[in-house]
Amino acid sequence: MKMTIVIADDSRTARFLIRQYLEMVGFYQAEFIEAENGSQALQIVKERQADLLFTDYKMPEMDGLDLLRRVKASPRLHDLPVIVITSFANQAKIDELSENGALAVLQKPLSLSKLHETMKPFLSAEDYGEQDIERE
Amino acid sequence: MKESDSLQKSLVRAVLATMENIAFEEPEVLPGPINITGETVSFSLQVVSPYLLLARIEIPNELAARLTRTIYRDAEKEITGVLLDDTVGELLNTIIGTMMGDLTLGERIFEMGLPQKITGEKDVPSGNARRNFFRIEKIPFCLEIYGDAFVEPV
Repeated sequence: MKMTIVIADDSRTARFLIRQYLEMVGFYQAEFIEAENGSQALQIVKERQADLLFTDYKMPEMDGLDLLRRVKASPRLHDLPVIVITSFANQAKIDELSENGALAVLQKPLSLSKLHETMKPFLSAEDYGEQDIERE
Repeated sequence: MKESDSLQKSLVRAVLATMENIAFEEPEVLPGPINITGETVSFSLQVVSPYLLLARIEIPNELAARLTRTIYRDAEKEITGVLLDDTVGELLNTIIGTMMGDLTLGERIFEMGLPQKITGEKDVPSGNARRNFFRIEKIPFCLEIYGDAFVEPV
């Protein structure tokens, strides 16, 4: 089944890199929808049937924590897995994000192996290709 | 080792790692001041904790375009000014995030702002500055750090 993955980051280059990394760990058949901030991402996940939400922590307008809280507060979106990407991945921040329902907190710059490990449960057998995990 | 030296080493490591991981380039560290000529893309980023620092990157358009083309490969046919800005801003964001992660020994307790594009005349902040020069394929670029911690032991 084709997955729909929403990527929220104020940097287009960061969104592109996240998408590239997701394709490299096996999501090359996924549909990617990009958002420039939390508000846009929230609007997208409300309108579309998204399977995963990747969000940067620090964004203008609505940051990743606010987005996470709003998604988890919505009965319809509550089960949407949210993965937060941040430079500030200290334990206190990880705990705060986890307590608010983040599935995982990944450190920026992304590590392919950590991303692969986190995303394994979402990869179906047909998604698994020979991807370039060794690049890093 | 002086704290200013360890900050400096972290900065250089962060530049090398970021350029290699994101743009697949291996910058050469240059020892002395180099004149950055021609049109450039400049961004600044403020760190407010645990050090008060202002980082500024200045990259010639030619190099910014090369890095952008490498990152986007065939995904973008036209490398626009907006795309160059986005690439340079994200590079600075990643460099400083990596450096601060290194400096805080994995605790990663720090606060920094968002990259801001510098347009027009550069408003030079007061205080001590350290200018770091690098080169990729004969094109030099500069990363300046304003903040006493980089110059004198604190």
